[in-house]
Amino acid sequence: MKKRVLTSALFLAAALAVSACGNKEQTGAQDGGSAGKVTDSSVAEKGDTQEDSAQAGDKVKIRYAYWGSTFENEAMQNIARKYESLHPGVEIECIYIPNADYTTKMSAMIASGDEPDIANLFASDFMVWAEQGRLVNIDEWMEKDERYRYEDFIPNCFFEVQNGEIAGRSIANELMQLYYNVDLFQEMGVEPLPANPQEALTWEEFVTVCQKLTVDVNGNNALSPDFDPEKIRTYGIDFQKSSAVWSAFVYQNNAPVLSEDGSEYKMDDPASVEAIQKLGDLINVYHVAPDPLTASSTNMSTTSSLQSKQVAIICDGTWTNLDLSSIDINYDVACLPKMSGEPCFSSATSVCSIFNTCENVDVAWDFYMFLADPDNAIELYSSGLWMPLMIKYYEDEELIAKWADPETTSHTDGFRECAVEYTKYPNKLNPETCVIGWTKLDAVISSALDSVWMGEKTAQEVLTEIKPSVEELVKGYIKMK
Amino acid sequence: MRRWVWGRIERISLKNRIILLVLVFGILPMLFFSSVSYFSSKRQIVENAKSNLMQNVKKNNELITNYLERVEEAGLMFTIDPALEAVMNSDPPSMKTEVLHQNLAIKECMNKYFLGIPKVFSAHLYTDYYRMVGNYTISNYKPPMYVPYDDFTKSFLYEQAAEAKGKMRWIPTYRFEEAYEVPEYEGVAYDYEYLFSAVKQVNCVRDKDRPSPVLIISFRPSFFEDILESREELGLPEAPEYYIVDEAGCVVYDSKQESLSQKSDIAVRLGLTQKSGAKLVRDQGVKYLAAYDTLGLMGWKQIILVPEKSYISSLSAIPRALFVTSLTVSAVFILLVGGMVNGMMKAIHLLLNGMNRLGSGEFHLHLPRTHDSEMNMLVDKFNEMDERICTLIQNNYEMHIREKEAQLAALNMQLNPHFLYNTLNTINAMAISNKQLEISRAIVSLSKMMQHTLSVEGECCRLCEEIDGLMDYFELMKFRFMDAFEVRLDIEEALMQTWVPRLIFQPLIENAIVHGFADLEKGGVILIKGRTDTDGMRSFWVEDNGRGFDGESREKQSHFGIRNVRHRLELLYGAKQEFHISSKAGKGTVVWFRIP
Repeated sequence: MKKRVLTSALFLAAALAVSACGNKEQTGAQDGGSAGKVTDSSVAEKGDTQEDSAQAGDKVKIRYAYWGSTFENEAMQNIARKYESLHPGVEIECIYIPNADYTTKMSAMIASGDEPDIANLFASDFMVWAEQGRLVNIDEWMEKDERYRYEDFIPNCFFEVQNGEIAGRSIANELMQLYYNVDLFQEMGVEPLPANPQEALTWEEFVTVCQKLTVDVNGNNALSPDFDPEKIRTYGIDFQKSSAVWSAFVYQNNAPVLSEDGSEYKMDDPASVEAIQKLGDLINVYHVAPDPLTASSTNMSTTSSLQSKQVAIICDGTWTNLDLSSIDINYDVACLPKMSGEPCFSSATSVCSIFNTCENVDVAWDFYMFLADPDNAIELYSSGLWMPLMIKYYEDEELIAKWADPETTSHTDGFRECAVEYTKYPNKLNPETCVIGWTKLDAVISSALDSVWMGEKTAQEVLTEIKPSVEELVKGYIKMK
Repeated sequence: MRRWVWGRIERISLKNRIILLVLVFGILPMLFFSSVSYFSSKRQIVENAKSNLMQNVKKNNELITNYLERVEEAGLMFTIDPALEAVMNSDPPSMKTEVLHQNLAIKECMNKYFLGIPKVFSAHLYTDYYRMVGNYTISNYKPPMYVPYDDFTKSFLYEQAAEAKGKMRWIPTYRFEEAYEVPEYEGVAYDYEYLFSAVKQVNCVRDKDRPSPVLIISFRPSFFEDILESREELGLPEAPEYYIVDEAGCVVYDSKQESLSQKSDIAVRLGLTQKSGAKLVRDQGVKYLAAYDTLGLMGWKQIILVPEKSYISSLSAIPRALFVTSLTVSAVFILLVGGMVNGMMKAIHLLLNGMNRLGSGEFHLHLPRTHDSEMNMLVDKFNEMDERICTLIQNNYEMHIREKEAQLAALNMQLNPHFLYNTLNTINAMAISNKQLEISRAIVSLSKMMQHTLSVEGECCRLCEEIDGLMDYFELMKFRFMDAFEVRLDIEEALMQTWVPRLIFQPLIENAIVHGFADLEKGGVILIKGRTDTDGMRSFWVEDNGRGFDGESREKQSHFGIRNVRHRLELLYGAKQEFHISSKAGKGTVVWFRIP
């Protein structure tokens, strides 16, 4: 009897306690639900937490702005999360701005005092803002940081501005490559393109290959007499008409854009003219590439065009590897065709800087170098987005395998020869990266080149015509370290 | 009927009656009040939820309208932009390069107006000379989304724009591949499978023979995600379902991502036919709270569905706690009461049991005490009673024996032996002197018999002495009854020296003579037998062939003499003796007893 009373009393007490707890939890959920939800979602979200939760107050927040494709955005988000997990007191806000809007957006943010802490910048914008003194001098930080020395990095990696200040570093090492659809080549019975620069096709060979791959709606390729250039179904090659691309071919032809010291316009040099004309002929003589008007209004992104076999070869920077490896396509990389002289590689990179409005430069610096060091952010390199800035990653077999091995990374078989080995050749920076005030120069030059691409003027005509107007705009090269 | 019910009620045991009462008058009211409280709370919650949701829906629509109105305004301003007008009204380009450059100029103009609006996925302008102008990113130099140039005029987007004649028209979510014929998209990864667009004929071309350009501003349905699902201050355990449908039922947005661009009758099905409102609905067997509001700009309805169990779970915990507590208390109460009653019943049963045992002669039961003071009183009294009865019987019994002994003693003492013997001697002398030998013999027998009978020398004597005494008695009886009977002896020689209770046979013989031979004139025989049994006990028979009686008459047995013998045997030998009397009418009587 006693036992019974005791157990009943205990049971009653327990029941009351449970219902009281339940009560508290629920009122808690009703009133302070947002707090609980925010804490959970701030970890799961893409880092865009702007709410004033207790959590944010304790963490250091670093805002990092960049452009790119959706895949690139995803990759950056992942690396930010990785960094956060290694540094629990830090929160990284990723600000993704599509390319077209980038300069505008960035300008607007600066104007309203809302600039990010770290940002990728186009070189020309970089120069402007560096001159305005908006960027942190990372030279000081390099000195203090024992982990890194300038010698560890590839040449021409750091951007020097007035007073010898280093205002930025390359985002990554990049170069222009050819990407081709392996399945389409097989279907058309064409030999795969060579990846090794020593075995690169000559220009003539290259054109022929493109002709074989260019097919009209009736199935005739560009070599056939029945070929109809008005009704092309598949193009052999598509390339951007931006300076990054055409300068790569100019350099391949051992031709200059500006003079060695950067003081003179040199595109009227016969070798430069020849290179430009060759590109133009691809479009208008051989009909293997679409003109800009057709290209810009046809179809999908370049990667999708390659995937859907509307174009057999594209020419783009090594960052394209990330996008291509993320979709369902059997592709490989190849080196640019030989034009004359030795192969050289044209790197096409932009700048990454820290704004001096950043409140926690030490933390920003840490993340800034975290990204540049494949030891830490290996995913950004093995996924194909970037190529390392640090020399040892081109020299040490083991380290090379970490980011370039076709078995374990996202890269294809040809990448090793085409990209890794390519960097052993002389490097010529594309004008976008190293010419001061290139935006203005490019506006004139690229605009003029449109006539060449449209087949209405020759390269010789155009490049000579613009010389007077361009000359005034030449301001020299950015100093690099 | 009533009788039957009453009968049933009466038959319910005490324990169950108590429980029933507790339930009816204690628990039920508690449960009743707590459920009333629960349901009224629930109703309040529903009302709150309704107004909450309505607010939410309206706020969402405000935000959406904000964004979309910007597009409308931008569209308006774009139409009258001087730079655009200049380009569109300039002479047809002679060189393809010019086409390219003007295309770029138009793009710049579009950027001015539409680039700044967040969440716009793409902006295109369909023109005659300048082809399709679209915003594009540097890395791809192509617009994020493709709109075909050649067949655009065949698409429903173009149709809608033409119909609207310059007003901006909103096209609900459609599948990209359905809007345009694009077989090359098969197997290709692209991120704009579903889109909704604003189309507008841009009437900036003065030449009436030239077609007007058409503006297409496109969004992806995820546009709504950010607005709708960021308002999680609803505090619901799971996200509700959102729908945006146009007037014809085309699904613009579906939070479950199942029915985008398809036709749905959800608004009609759930009866959400007003401009806005909130109500409880039932869909496919599940109860929901639905709130909806219409976007004024293009008549699209935003519907939010919250399953009932979702907001019920956030029901105030107090009535629930009350409910639970009352249930628990009820249960505990029943247990406790049951326990108590059980305990009580146990004690009563114990007493009943004790009474039974007492009744059948078991004493000194010493029933155990219980925890209950009232019951203890009972138990104590019972135990007392037990002891008292026991004592009473003992006393009674003992008293009875003493009485008997007293009687015997009195009997013994009744006759003063000396006086008796002297008187008999005198009579004897007189008889002898008168030569009356028979009278002398009789007197001597009487004297001897009386000596034997009144002897105070102990309870027992030797059997031979007893037999001698008996013989004397017989002599006397012979005189009286004039040889009507004779006595025979059949006793083992060994038994003669054993000790027997004094005068044990006497009453038996007397009975035989007085009752058995009452009608007999002659031929009566009394046989006295004595044997040693195999177990050492001694058996004695007194048999007569007198009148007898049938069976074992109780009357005879309770006759003083028989009783005496029995009693004495019991007293002397306790359980170790046996006594039996049997007879048959007309045949005779046998009295048999056995002693150790």
